[in-house]
Amino acid sequence: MISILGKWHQDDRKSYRKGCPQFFIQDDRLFEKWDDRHVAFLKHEFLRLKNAVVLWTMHPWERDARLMKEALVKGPQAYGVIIEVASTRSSEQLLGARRAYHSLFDHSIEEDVAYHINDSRRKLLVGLVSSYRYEGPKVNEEIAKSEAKTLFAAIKNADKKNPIEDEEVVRILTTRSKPHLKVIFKHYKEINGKNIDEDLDDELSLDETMQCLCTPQTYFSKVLGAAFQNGADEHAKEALTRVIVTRADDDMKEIKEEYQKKYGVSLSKKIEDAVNGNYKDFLLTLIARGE
Amino acid sequence: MASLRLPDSIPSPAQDSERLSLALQGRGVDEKVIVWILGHRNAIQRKQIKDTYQQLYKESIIHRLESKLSGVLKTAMILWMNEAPERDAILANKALKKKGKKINQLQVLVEIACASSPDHLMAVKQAYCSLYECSLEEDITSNISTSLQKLLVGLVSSYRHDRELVDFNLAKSEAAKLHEAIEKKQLDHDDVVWILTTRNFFQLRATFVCYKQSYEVAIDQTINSSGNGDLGSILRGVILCIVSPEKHFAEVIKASTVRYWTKDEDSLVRAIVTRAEIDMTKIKGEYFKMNNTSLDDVVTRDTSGVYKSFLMALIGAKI
Repeated sequence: MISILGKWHQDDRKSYRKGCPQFFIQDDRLFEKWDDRHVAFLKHEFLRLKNAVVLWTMHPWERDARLMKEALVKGPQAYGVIIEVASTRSSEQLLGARRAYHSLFDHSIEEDVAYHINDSRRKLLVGLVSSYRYEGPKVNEEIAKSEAKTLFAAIKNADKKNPIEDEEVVRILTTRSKPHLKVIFKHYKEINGKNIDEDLDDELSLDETMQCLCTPQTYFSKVLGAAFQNGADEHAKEALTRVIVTRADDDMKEIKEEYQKKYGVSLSKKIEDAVNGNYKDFLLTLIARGE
Repeated sequence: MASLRLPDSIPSPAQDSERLSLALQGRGVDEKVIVWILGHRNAIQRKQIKDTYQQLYKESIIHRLESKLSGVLKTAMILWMNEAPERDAILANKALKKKGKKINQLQVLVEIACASSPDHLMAVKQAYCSLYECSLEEDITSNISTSLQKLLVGLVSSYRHDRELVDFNLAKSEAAKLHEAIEKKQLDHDDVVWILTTRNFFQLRATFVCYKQSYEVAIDQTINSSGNGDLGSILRGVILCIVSPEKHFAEVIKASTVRYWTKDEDSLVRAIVTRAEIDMTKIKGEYFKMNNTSLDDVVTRDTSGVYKSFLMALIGAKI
């Protein structure tokens, strides 16, 4: 595209304008004027591509640090990104992001989260960004069983005390290893008959946290689904770039499988239908890696 | 400044390993040679010896030392031969698993979190996961009473910024938040925990100075007078380790010794072994200011045998 456009003379460009009435409107003062909506649309598409390329070429540590900072600055509706980054990365990946955050922003991520977040999610978020979990397979079944009971009691008590502010709930979610948490959720189902995320329908952040920790592919395919919905807001749409760029080297294969299972259509087909231009090609290239 | 003295010319790691191997052979053990060599090598040199010994004799020198040495010399030497992150992970684990532990035994957690760099704390946590198959935070939860968990888990989870960046307005406002919480006897208030566990050390020192300026009394004295037993004691330890780790360790050493005997060998060993290559010279200065006696004299007086020679080497006795 660049090599073609760059070579056009004035007359070529004039013919282009006259030949594309859907982009250029004949103005009363005798010139072909860009249709404003189309300019905005193109700017938007180039911006999405630019954002995706910049994010893709960044070191993963810087990427995660910037994503978390951006979420902090955007405010409460974006805090889910902090949960996502802190919970889906490995212990070493999160540590790297914390290092990058020091370099980029002259603070630790945990001090910024503790200082700037003022809602009920503060305890949970400080704990999540500070976590350095054991990553081996060893799990203490007795402790997992007892912690399943603790979670169950806290959730049942939700009308008296918000479980997201319960110190025991936060401790379990922010310090236990991921294998340990999976065993807790298994015991939870045995005690309660229901999966823990079904019980947490009202408590979105806790629900997201648990999904991110134990079944990240389910979480990511849901986020992608929301990005394609009619009436999806800017924040939901941005998730498309974020999820694909940040997971392309990790578990994109599993996310694609989960997406197919959940929505009955392949992720590539959905991107083909819903996205345009070079941005679309870029995304499709990323999700096809490793195939 | 480190107190450890190194000889003018150091034998190669292979030569050292050979002499050590001879000292560790046979039925007995030549403790003097072991202390003479290892007590005069820095961390890098000791690692080289460890690696060379392993290559030459297909055995870990630490295992050999464990099987041949005994008593308090063994404890001290094993700690000395482990690299700093593993050493501190071992000390933390020992403190957490001790039955009937007293509050001052938890000091080691405060020391690791507040008297060393953020990178060192991270390395200790990584070593802890490798050694004990769970995270340090999880073991704190399993072994410490609930009232202290929030602060201790917070302290070890943090990865503070390590540059000297201070916001004086923030220091003032956070000094006020701390003051309010302490006055209300809410020592485990979230704000107290977050300020003390997430702010960088330079910022916190500025906060404590602002506190003294605004309220005319030092923050640790306010905590003292608010009572609050164990939690207050830990908080004071946190503040002292941040403001003056050398004062903290001088106090630890003082509390561990009583005229003519050492009542708390573990604390004495810990203080000397962990700080010999960091700030033992400053600690000795503080100790003298506190007690009008030199640490060298006290160690000479209160310990004996080859163990005494080892401690003396670490605190910088002349070669």
